[in-house]
Amino acid sequence: MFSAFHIPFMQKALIISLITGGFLSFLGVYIVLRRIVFVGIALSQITACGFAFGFLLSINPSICAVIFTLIGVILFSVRQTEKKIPDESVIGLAYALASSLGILFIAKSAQAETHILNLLSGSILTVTDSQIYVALIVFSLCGLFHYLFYKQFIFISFDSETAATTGLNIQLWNFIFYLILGIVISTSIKASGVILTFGYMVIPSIIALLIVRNMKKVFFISVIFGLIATLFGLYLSFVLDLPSGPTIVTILCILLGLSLLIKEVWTLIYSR
Amino acid sequence: MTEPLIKFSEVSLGYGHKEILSNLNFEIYQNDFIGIVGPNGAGKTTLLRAILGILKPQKGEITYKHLGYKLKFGYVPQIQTINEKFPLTVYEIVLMGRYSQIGIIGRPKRIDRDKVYSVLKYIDIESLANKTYTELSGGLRQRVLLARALVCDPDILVLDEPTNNLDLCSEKMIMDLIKKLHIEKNIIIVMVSHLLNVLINYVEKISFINGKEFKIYHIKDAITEEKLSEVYGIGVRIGNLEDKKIVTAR
Repeated sequence: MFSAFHIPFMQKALIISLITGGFLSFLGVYIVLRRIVFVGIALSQITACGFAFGFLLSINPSICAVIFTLIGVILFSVRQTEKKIPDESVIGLAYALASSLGILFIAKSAQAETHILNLLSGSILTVTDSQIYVALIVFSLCGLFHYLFYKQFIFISFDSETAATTGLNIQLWNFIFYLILGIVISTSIKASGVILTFGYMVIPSIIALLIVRNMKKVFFISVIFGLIATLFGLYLSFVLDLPSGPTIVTILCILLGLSLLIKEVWTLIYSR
Repeated sequence: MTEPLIKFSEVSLGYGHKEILSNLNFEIYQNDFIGIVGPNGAGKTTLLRAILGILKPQKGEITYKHLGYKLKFGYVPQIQTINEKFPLTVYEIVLMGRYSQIGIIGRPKRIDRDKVYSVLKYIDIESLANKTYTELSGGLRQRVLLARALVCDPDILVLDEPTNNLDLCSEKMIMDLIKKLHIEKNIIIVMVSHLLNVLINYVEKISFINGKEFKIYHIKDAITEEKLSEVYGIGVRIGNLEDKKIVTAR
């Protein structure tokens, strides 16, 4: 198995996947528990739309993606005082708009079509050294932030009303939470693609929540499953000549199915 | 009369351009045990948010007495506002009440851990410290939230519908505990509820949110058939069962 990872492009693919997979699996715990799964997919789509816009105007697609993501972050993190449109409708609207605009930008851009296909399924095998360094720096900083401000992120996610009474600025901390999410998505999407990025954000944390009932263990198990699926998914994609992103997502889904099955059997045995 | 700890002067409250409560004039004093009654959607939670200082008034002024330090609030929210999916332990949840003392990037110290365990012991849930919140019954969950509110040594305990969806036994247990806190720890209690029969047997002062004038009454002045009929707009009868009062519609 490990012979596959002696090849340089596979080594780079493994490194970037482990970094993105690990961190997105960690963030995914918040996403699933806060029931903002569709914010994740909408932000991914907004980022992809930003890339398409960059290709259309022949300006730096990565910078456009970051700007678009930032707009999405502001949209999702600002609480409406008078709710004219329900939150979930805003998310759906943003998703529909970003998807439509993305397709329109591609339709009018000469070079975007091939790039956009890569954005959907990822281009992990062609990742560059600079992409790895950027991901390492960005994810280390985001990770450090989450470590330092664990208390604040947990409190606003568990009980924002009481958190506000202790002096926490809920709007600000929500904005920081979504900003980190946006930065992570826009950094990982170019290499991992929309499908894998979304898969990492949702599936490992669902598995972890099925297996353990302790907050810190949930974070740990989620990351472990993200990493295991990355390792096996990349290996299988190499051996069977399959696209890496969808292979990793499929492995994650198989692991989820197995976890469900084991949990059911376990419950059956112990309920007797 | 002593100086009030909190004073509302001509206060109007609401969200955005929408006004929910207007012309609020009342005071909260040391040793008060106040119950605020009103139907769902009347603005009870809005009023509590203003008392806690997290909702700024649209008009008027709210003044807080300085006790040499800023007034400390303990807050027990409506249990439905909690995201119970988080697999947090009782200890972790109660520790949240110490976060403002721990500091923005600080880690819990021995004093914080000791404080959490002493409050858990006082509330009689020390044995549940390592249990997850989701494993607990409604009554025990409410005690955990009470413990979290107490762990910062509050001057005022503000509770939003603390007996909502609780069975009779849990309801009595929670109300007895709140009364004990008021008497033994000298904590000012401000609680809202839509359950008049629960409040009138515990609180010392009561107020009604019903779109008319908002005023805080001493319980003996408010719980009369005449007054309650005026407040609720229907005939009301007050009966006694052992040492408890029961209000029923005629």
